[in-house]
Amino acid sequence: MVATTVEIFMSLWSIFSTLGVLVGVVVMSYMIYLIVKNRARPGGPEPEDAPKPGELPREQKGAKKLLISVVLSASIVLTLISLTFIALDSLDTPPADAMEVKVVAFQWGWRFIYPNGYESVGELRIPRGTPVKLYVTSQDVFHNMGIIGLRLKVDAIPGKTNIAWTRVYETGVYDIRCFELCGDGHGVMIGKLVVMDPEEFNSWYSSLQVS
Amino acid sequence: MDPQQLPPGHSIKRWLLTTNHKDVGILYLVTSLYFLVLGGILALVFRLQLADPGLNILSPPAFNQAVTIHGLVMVLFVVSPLAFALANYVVPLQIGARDLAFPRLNALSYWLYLFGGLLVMISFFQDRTLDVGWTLYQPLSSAFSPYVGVNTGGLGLALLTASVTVSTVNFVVTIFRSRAKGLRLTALPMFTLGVLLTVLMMLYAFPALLAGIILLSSDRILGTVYFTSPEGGAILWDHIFWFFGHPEVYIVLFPALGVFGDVLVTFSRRPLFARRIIIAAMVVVAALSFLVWGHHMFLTGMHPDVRRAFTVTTIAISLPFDAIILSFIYTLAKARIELKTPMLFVLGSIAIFIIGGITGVFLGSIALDYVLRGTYFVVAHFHYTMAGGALVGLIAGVYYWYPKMTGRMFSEKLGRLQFILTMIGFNMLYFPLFLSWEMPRRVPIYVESLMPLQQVATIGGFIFGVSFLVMFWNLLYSLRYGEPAGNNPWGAHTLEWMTESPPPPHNFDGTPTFADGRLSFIAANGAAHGEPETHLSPWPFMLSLASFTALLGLTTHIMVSIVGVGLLAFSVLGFAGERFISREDPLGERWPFDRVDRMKLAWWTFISSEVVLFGVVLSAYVYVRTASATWPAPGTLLDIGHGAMNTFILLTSSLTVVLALASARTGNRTGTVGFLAATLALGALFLFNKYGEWSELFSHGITFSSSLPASTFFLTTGIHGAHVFAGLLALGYLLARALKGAYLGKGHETLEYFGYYWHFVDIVWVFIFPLFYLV
Amino acid sequence: MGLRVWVYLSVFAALVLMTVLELILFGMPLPRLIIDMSIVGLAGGKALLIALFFQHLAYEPRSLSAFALLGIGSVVAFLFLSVYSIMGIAFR
Ligand code: HEM
Ligand SMILES: [Cu+2]
Ligand SMILES: [Cu+2]
Repeated sequence: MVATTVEIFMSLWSIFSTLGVLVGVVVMSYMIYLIVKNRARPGGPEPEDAPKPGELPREQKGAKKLLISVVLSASIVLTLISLTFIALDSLDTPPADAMEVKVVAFQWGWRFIYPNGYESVGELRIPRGTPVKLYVTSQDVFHNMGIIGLRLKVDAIPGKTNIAWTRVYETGVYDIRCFELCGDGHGVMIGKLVVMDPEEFNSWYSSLQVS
Repeated sequence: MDPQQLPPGHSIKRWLLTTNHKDVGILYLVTSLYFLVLGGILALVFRLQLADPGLNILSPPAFNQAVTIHGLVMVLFVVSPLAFALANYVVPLQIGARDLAFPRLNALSYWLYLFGGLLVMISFFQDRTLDVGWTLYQPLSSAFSPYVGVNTGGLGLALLTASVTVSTVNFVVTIFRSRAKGLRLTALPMFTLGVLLTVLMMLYAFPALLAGIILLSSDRILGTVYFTSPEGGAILWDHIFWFFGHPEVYIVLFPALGVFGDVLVTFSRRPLFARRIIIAAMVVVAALSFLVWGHHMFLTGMHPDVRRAFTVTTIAISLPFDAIILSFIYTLAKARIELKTPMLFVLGSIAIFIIGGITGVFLGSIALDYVLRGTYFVVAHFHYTMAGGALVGLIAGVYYWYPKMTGRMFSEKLGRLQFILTMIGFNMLYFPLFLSWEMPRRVPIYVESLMPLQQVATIGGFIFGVSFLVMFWNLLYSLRYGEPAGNNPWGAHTLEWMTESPPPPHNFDGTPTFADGRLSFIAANGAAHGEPETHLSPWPFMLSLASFTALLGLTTHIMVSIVGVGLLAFSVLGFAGERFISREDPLGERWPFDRVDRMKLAWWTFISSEVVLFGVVLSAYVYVRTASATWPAPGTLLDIGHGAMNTFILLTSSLTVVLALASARTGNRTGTVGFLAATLALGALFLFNKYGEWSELFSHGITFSSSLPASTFFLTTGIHGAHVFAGLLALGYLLARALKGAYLGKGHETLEYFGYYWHFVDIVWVFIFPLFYLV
Repeated sequence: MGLRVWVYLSVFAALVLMTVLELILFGMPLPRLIIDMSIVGLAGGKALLIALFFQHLAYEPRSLSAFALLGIGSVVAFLFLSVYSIMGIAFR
């Protein structure tokens, strides 16, 4: 797969969506089955316990049936949540050898500051295969940096630095977009992530003039 | 009791002055449907824009405004008020009451809601209306949004929160104290139960919104720095907004859950499955709803412990929901299901809500949230819950009770047609949005490959829109030409069907009681009723108009405000001086407040909302202090002497209030007047001292915008001072009446109620003093 | 009635005393944390006294106090979780 973050996401996503669709289909089919089976036919008898006008509400007993269903769904949900926590662990622990880039969001664009102090606006270049750790903040309002295709997203909040990381395995170009409404230019706050061949990256990086 | 007291339905006077819950319900219904059209048209306009990123129907600012107002209007001005339209009409009928506990306050709620909506609409015609998303994120909506229209819109929201607070108090007291004998809380019809839990959530959620709006407006208008400085800023707002916002989504939903319950029983001809478990589950959801707000902040980088806690609560809250929805479905087993329009809508709405619920679990998983946050997946999810679950569920309620409200049946054929259009339109509109899960929301620009999906959604949107036209036609046409409905066309068992359609102004002939387990009526005993109850009052309308004018002036011309304040004073006096009679039935089920009279309960409910308001404001102070690296040591910024002196003054004033009460109780007029006057003097002294303190700070160049320590001090003590000031106005009124000999002996309760408020304000100061001056 | 007034007066005396105690504590040569905690604790005690005896919760049915506690509970949840969420985070 393209990147570490994609792997983590897809493994979770496939489980969630399979179970989600499964549960949805089962519950809805059951509901439709009941409706079709029990719809009123002309002249059919009223159920014995049909509520009569002026009565206080009664209930159908069924704590056991309900308990079983809820325990079942609880076990599904608990599985999902433990998987989430496991995935979260890797999302929260960037490797120590990552390349560290500072990202400053502003109205309306992205500024990237490389370890050697080089700054660029709009385009971030990284080498393929090396983990990259992003220190994301904002100089004005609340933005959110998301890299489409890499399943990576992090809030850019003024006065606060948030961290995200990934490792991309293939060269390519990805869109960076803003996912938090930040004013008139929110829709066009688009940047590029360029994943380069490591050698090309190194020669570009070492040729940079840092003032 | 003279039913002729209400002018006929075609007179304008009736609708401006009415305080009858059924009339107010109709007003709410019409108004919320009007706002639905407004919000719907906005949605269709930006849906058109979204059909093709190349189109230029809306400029970016126009797009942002349309999206923002659509969201705000739909959540706050459509769905909740629609629920309260039904609640107004149906709840008193379901519990066997003649009206809500405070009919005039009920009318006041309606008019405040309407005028709040008007303010929001007026903001369209100023430079720009709110364009910052309905979540009003910071600091975009404070430091980076200079438009006047945003202020006006914010003030409109403030008026709405006032309306909500008033109706919360009203419904809490009504449902706790006006139930027919034998109608225990657990025996309430599901709809009334849903409304009860809704208002309890509103009681603690909306004051937080009010606090947020006050802090935000103060940043925008007075220049405080709560949200413009990073220590408060984005994250403080997130906490405040979502502490309100998450309960709000259940506030929107619960009345619909109630509709589900009642409609399911009626049309499946069976009792609810595991009814008591459903109720327990709803109580658990209502309580937990205040502990999950952090799931809207998973990517803000909050403390890992807290993030984990919020994940657990979020996942936990899905389990009671499982129990509720599954019980609804199990009810259908061995049933005899009549697929009439209300039932169709309920079943469709439940199906849609299931999809919304499942996708909600996706969003509760932080790891997935890293991808889904801020995308169309979220838009799809909340429409499946709020538009499909809540709004469509309430439409079921409108159809269900339409025969009761009008005395006529609607066209079943048109009802079914609408149902089919709704289901097709809704799913075409929102399902493609799940599939657009990498597309940022609130953005008109997206990649080509998503165009087919987005165009399907736009077509679906128009079908969904048309389905509402069918409904409007059905409701209007049937008003005239529908078959007469009779009392109980659906063969339902709950109390609202045991009277005429539409019911007479006093609802029931005789007093309904369930004392021996089944409904019977105690014949009305004319003599016992005394003076007829009042059903008309001009003051709710006047008060709302006045508040509207006063607020409008703040963003237009100050003269307007001055007129408004004058009008307000006039209306308050008018309201207070009016002889308005609404009696509580002496018989009734009141657990757990049997020995708490209705005014007392009302005051304590109101005080609870004030507790949350001040609680949030004080928490914001603790929060920014924790976030700040440095803070002036005690005694450097503020003079402890001032604070201590004011503490003693306020404590003493609390003593004089209780002494006035004690004197009134024994009929001692001199004591009453004297102690009230002393309280007034002490309150004034407090404010005078405060004034000295503030002007000293100003003279040293310390103002609202100097720093967080200054901002928090001025605003917190400012809000508190405003409460003292309001108390003084009330005291002036009490004193004037005491001089004429009021409150002695039997009337002393009024002083007790005033005391609740005054002591509460004192308690707030008891916390402000150490927190700001000593610690 | 005489009893009520007597209660009012003694509660008032206690409130004043506790305030004086707050001021005395403020100047004591003790660790800041202890002072702060006791001062806030005293404020809580004062609030409780006012609620119980001036607002008469002590004489009302228990349900009313429980109702009042709900609001306080929600505020405490808000305060605790929001402040905890930023523990150890440096802003700016
Ligand atoms: C005709 C029916 C409706 C259509 C076509 C529609 C469409 C949309 C769309 C496309 C968005 C996303 C805009 C964006 O992010 O760019 C949106 C946002 C929203 N809608 Fe609707 N919607 C409809 C009905 C409703 C209803 C009934 C509710 C009420 C509960 C609702 C509540 C919201 C909210 C809260 C937002 C978020 C606004 C924001 O992002 O600030 N909508 N709507
Ligand atoms: Cu943005
Ligand atoms: Cu939420």
